[in-house]
Amino acid sequence: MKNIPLIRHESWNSLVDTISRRLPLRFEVGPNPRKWSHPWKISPFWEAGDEEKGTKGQWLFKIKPGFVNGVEVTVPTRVKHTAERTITRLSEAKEDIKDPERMVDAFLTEWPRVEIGPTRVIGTGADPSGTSSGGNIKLSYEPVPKFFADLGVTSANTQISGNINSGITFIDGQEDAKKARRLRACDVSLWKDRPSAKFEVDPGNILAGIVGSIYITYSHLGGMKKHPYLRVSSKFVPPPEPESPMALLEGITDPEYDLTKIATIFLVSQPGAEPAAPLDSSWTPYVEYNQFWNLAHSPQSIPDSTPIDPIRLTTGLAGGLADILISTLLAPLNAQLNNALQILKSRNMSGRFWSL
Amino acid sequence: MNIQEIKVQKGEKIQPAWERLVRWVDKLKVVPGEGVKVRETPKGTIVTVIKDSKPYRHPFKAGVSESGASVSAGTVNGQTPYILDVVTKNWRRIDNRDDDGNKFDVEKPPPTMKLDLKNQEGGKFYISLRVKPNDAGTIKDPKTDLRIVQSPTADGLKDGAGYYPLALFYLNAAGTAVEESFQIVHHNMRYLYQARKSTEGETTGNRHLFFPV
Repeated sequence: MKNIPLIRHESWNSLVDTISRRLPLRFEVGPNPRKWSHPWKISPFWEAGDEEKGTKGQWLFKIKPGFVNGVEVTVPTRVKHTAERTITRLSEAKEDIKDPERMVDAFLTEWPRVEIGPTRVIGTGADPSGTSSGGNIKLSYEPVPKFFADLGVTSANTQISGNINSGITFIDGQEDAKKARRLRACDVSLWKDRPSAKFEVDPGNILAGIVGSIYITYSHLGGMKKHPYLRVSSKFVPPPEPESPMALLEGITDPEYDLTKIATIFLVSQPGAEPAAPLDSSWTPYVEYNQFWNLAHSPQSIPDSTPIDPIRLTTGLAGGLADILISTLLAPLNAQLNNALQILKSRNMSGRFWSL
Repeated sequence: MNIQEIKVQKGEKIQPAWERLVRWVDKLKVVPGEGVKVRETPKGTIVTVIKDSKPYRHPFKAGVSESGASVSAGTVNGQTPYILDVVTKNWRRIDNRDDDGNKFDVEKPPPTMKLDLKNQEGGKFYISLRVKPNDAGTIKDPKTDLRIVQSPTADGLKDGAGYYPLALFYLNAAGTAVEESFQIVHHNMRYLYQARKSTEGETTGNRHLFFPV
């Protein structure tokens, strides 16, 4: 019987797909890119390790220098990641830079390389950020941004059902382990040290009806940096605000710094990576920015230099002997703490960053 | 490949013809050259031609050359700063216009200020705005009160005037030329003088505030 040559249908369809990808041709005029990158632009890159030296590969980034009030910004980095300018400057300042692992402050204008340090997990494998219950306990997580969900990053979705008597069942979200991608992130934030308003409490005499007196002072506990500086952390946390009088009693007063988030660096794995897969060169970096311009910063107000009278926390009754009811003690105390809080808010030196 | 080569004759073996067709399709691939971006999609290929890129022009763009430093036009509170022109030895508006804001009848080269490479600190210097407000906190005469000067630090000369750096310049190791520059200001500016007086009438905590606008 004569052989009849055949074209497999897969080959035929593959050729049709190839043609349809290449034809028709559509021409577009591209945008007019300006040879300009904005301040704070971050360029992450993978630095391969050296087996002979026993060093592991790691993710680093470079950042286009940004300024605050026209002042240079620094970032802590290891000596081995600094550029020649930093080495020259530190050598002239007679700083010890022999240890390549030592952390030093480099100006961004010296083009240091900065380590992408600890990262947080977003999506499957993430730590919960909260819980809600309604029959079953449902844990809440930092949501996976839609951009990354479209890339195949799966959301964390753990529910806990049952109770101690019936037994607890953990139900994790469904995902195709061969296709799922993993997401890690860290935040780059800008800090500026400043004096803070502090209350100094002078214990009073309970027998005289004075629980204590509060004085306000401005100081920094030491090590106040002259220049604004960057920090890389797994998660940006805004500073606590003394919103309630009780915050004063908990020691939450005026922080000694202002800070703002510059950018978030995301790293996405290849499909099929384990949730606990280590970061390596196969991950792809993305950067989301919160700031695009150089920044201005100043205290919202200059505290009035007029001295204030100490705030006296007094009990309702002189001598305090009859003041045994907690409620009658708390009422005047709350009012006085409120007074203290208002003074702290009006007399602090908290500042704001801004640009256009 | 000639299109005739992929046509077939009656009775021709199908396998060689098929292979010729596959090779032809492979050659349909668009190869991007410089300034051309090619993206294949399931519904065809998109060829994007990138126009020539242009540098970003913005207010107060500072540049240095062997002859000195120049700053492109920009305003502070709507007023144009002055720069000491190395050629004419006069303070001239940075927008290259006369004191009334009119164009010169005969075009002049943009004003350029002379740089003093020894006026630096740590191998760096700044081209800065210098604002000297009057008692009311306003800029009365830009020719004397709103100038562009060189300063060794971002703080300026601490002479009571307000300073805001426009650009930072690094010198080379020998200190003989500018090695790298960093633009700091990209927008027109608004200036505000904030004087604070205590209850005793003593002036404390004066501030020169600069806002991008």
